[in-house]
Amino acid sequence: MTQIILPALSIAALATVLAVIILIVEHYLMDYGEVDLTINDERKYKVTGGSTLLNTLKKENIFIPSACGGRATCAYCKVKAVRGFGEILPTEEPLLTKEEIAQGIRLSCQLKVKNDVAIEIPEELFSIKEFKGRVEAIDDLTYDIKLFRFRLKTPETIDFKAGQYIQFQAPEYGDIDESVYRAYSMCNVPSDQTSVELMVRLVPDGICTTYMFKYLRVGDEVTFTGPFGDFYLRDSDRRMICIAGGSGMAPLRSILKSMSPEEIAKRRPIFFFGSRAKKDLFLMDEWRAFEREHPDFTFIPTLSSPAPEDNWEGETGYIPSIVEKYVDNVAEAEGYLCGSPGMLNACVDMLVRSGMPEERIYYDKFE
Amino acid sequence: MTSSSKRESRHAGDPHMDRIEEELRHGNYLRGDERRLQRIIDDDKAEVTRLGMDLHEITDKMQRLFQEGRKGLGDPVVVDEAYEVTVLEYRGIIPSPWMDHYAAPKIVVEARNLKTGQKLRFSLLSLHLIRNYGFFQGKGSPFRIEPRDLYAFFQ
Repeated sequence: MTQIILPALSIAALATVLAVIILIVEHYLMDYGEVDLTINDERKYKVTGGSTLLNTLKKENIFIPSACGGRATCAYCKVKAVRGFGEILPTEEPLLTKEEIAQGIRLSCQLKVKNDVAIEIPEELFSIKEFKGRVEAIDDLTYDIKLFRFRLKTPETIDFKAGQYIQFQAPEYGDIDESVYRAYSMCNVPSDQTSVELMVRLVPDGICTTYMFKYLRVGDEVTFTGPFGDFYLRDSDRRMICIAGGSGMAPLRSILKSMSPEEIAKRRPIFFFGSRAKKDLFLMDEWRAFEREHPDFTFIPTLSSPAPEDNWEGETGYIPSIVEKYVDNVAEAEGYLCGSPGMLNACVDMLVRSGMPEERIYYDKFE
Repeated sequence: MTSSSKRESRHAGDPHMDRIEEELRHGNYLRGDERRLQRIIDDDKAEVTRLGMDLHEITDKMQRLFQEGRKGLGDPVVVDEAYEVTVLEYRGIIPSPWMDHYAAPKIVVEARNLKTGQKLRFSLLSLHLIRNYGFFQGKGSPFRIEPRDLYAFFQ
C-alpha cells in the first residue's frame, strides 16, 4: 500500500511546489507592461498588465457587479470578451452556459490582462462609481428591519433614479474571512444627493445583514458601488398600483416621495403595503401624512395575520385578493412591485389575470 | 496551533473537490469543522445508511414542505395535518458553492412536527446540497442538519 501512496504523494507535492513557483515567478518577475484595453470598440485605455480584468477595470473606475469578491462563485461579473483572452478556464466553465460560451461571455474576475484586449459591457456600467461614506444613523423600524443612513465622503454626491439600488460591501468580520457585496434599494429621494438610506431586513445567519445589524456602528466607514437597476418610474399617464412587503417599501418610498404634486395628481398612486401583524408595520405616520398632503395618493396597509391584541381595523388577507376592491380598472394601470419572490409572483399572477400586460409590471428581483 | 494546521492534511485528491472545499470554507459552510470535505460526506453517508434513510425520499419531503409552506406567503401553513411550516423569503440569491450552475433563492423553511414538537430549519441551498451531494454541511455551520434529526423529524 505504501508503495502506491508514497509516489502519489510525491507527485502531488511536486505539482504543488511547481504551481507555487509559477505563481511567485508570475507575481514578481513577469512584467506585462502597458497594454491596450478597448471597451465597446470606442473607449481606449492604457492599463498595466498582470491583474485580473475585474480589478483592471476597477482601477479605471469601471465597476462590474460582483458579489463574491472575485472568487468565481457568484457569476455576476460577466463581460463579453472580444479579443485577447485565451480559452475558457476550468474555473469559469461551471458558471457559463453553452450559449454564453458561444457568445464569448467570460467571468471578468478570472481573466488576466496580459496583452492588448477588447471587451464589451453595457454602457450604463460607466456611470457606476465606488462610494465611501460614514454611518450617520441606524434606526429600528421593526424588530427585524433597520434604516441605515450613510453620509457620502468620496465622491460627495450621488446621482441616481428613484427605485435604484446599491451594492453594499460587508468586510471580513468574526468568523467570516471574505468580503461580500449585497444589493439594497435606496429609500431616500434622488434630490438628497449627499446621503444614501437603506431599509434592511435581518436574514437569519445572513453574512451581510448580520454584519450590518451586529457590527456596524454610527461613525463607521462604509463602501458601496452603484447605482444599479432598472426599477424606476416610467413616463406615462397611467394609474400606479404599488405593492410592497417588508423592506420592499424602500424603492417605492424613493419613487413616491420624489414625484411632484402634479405627477401624483395625474398618476393617482395607490400603495398596498403587506405585513403579517401590526409589529411588522413601520413608517405608518409618515405615509398617513403623505396621504393628507396628496389627496390623490392612497395608502392601504394590509395584515395577513393580525394578532388579537393588534385591534386591527384595516384590511386583512393577502394583497392579491384586495387590489380589485380598490382599483376599478387594473388592466389599464401600471404595476410597481417590490418584495419577496413569493409575494412578487403571487402579485404578478393577479395583475396579469386582471388584464394588465406583463410588460407594464415593473419589479426588481435582485437576480 | 492554527486552525489550518489542525485540519487533516491534504492528500492527492480530486482537484475539483479541493476547490469546492475551499469555497465551502470561505463561505462558512464548514465553520469549525476541521475534517476534509470528502470525510464529512462519508461520515454523514455512513450515518444515513445506519439509519436506513432514503435521501431522495427525505429530500422530496423537504421539498414538499417548502412548496406547500410557500403558499402561506410568510404565514404558517399546516401541511398534511402533521407539520406547521413557515417559509421566509428574502430578496437575492445565493450561488451554490459547488459551482454547479445553481443559484438558490434566499429562502429559509421553518417547520415544526405537530406531534413531537421537533423543529427543522433548512434553506433551499441546504436542500440542494443534501439532495445532490449528500452534504449536510460542517458541524459548526449555521445550517448544518444532523442526519438523525432529519430522520426523526419525518418519523
